[in-house]
Amino acid sequence: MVYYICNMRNNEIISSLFFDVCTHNNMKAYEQLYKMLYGKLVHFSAAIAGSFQLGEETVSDVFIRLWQKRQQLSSVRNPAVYIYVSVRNASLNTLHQRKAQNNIPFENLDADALAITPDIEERLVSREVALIIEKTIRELPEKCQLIFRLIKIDGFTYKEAAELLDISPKTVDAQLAIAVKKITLAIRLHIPSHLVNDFLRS
Amino acid sequence: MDTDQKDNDRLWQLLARKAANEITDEENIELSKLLQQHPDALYAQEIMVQEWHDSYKRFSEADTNAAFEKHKSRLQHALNEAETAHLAEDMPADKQPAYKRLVFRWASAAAVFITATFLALKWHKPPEPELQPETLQQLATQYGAKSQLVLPDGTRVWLNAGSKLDYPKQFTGANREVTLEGEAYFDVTANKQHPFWVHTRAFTVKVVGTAFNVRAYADEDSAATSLIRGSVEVELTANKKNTVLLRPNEKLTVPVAASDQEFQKASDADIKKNIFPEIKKTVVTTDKANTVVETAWMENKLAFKNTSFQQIALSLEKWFAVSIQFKNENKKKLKLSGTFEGETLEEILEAFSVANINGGKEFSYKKDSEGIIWIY
Repeated sequence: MVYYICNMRNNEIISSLFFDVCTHNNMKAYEQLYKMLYGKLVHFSAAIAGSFQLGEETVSDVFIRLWQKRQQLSSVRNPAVYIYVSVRNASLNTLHQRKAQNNIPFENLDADALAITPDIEERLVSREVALIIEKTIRELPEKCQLIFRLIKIDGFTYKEAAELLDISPKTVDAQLAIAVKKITLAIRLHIPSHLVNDFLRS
Repeated sequence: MDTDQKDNDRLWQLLARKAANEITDEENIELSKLLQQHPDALYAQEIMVQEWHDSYKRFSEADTNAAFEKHKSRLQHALNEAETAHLAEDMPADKQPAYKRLVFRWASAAAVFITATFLALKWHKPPEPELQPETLQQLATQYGAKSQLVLPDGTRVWLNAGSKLDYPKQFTGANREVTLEGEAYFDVTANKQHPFWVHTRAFTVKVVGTAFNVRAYADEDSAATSLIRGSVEVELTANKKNTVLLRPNEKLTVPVAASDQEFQKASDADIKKNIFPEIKKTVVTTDKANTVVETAWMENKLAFKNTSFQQIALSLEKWFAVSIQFKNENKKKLKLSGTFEGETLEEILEAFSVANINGGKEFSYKKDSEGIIWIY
């Protein structure tokens, strides 16, 4: 399926761009890296910090530090996680009441920044179904929404998402299952009529 | 009732794993069976495996490009501040050029690799650099070793195994000139008033400020130069009137076998139209992991893409400081690809030899009592 190939290649591309920056001072690779991750990182940061403006500045700050320290970073094993962790910490720093640890305060995440929706392919997902899915997700606990997002949009593995959120992979597994269950039950009665035969054939 | 509940929980768990691309083959089969019992979840599966996107404030390509432009200014500003703050301190020589080069790099694009192949017999002697002999320094690397240095103007040079670079103690005169035999990667400090020239037997590369690789070993039958950043002008030694302009990611290969007459006629336009196919202007090669083959040596990797075994052997000889000879001349023409990092010579030869589709070996090899490797 195209989806799998896309996300697997994304993290490989991120790694190779990152190493190109660190070992060759390659500004072009730096630019590509920035553009590839910009949207996702800004949303991630805004979800924690509560504002998109702050999110943009934070991401820019992280990338400035990345360029300044690039020669020391060539042995980073997982560049994508490294960059997200940097953004997480920088975003937490902008919160006024920040506790000592690097734990994300899940209850205060910004729902707009987290909001996601499936690509609408006319035949498969109608506008109506997409809206139901969006609503269902927004009603999930913020922690669950963030996990869902890290998996579907940011393309992380269970292990990577768990590391980023400082929780166990089992929690990620369980939370994702809850999200999938709620979504499936919500759309169960809304399968488009022209697809009913395709899906209900036994 | 209980089993139903457990079944359902398992269904959600497996569906989620599928959505996350974490599902194993066995689990996938289990999922198919569960879906047969819960066909209404088939629709959900289709949606779960699709791509999803932000539903609020989705950034377009234009948004992202604009954001990068803004980020660039902030970066430049931050670096300028850092540089001013550090003026009082001692800064390592190789850091300063990086800041100054920042602006230039944005002006130019990627770098190009130019590889030039030498014609052992037919080339004229390169012009003598306009320098006093006594102020010339030389950095030479043995087979099996690499080296790095910073030239008087801040240009960084990485020298591959078995290479020699002649350079002056100070750059005086209109041009900054060095002479290379072997392979080197140059990251040149920008200076429009004083172009940087690299002389090799086959050609001279003229640059203003850029990063490129030159491969000009005396024992190889072609020389090449690959441009990574900026733009360079390559002047063929056989005919100085004709120069070839290279853009980032372009590679110029000049084989040994072509005649003087052909080179004299060859111009940039002709090469583009492929009228002189021996002089090739191609694109830099990348392997599956996006490693650029021509500069892989800088990352301590050996990378080959559809390269003749003869050429590969020449590279391996220099990298491992061994002698490789062919008992079977036909094996020289074998085309091989592979990227290696940290493998021993035996492991590399082993990897290449098992490439045969029929299950047999492409070639065999043996080390004799003098340590020479023979290919059969």
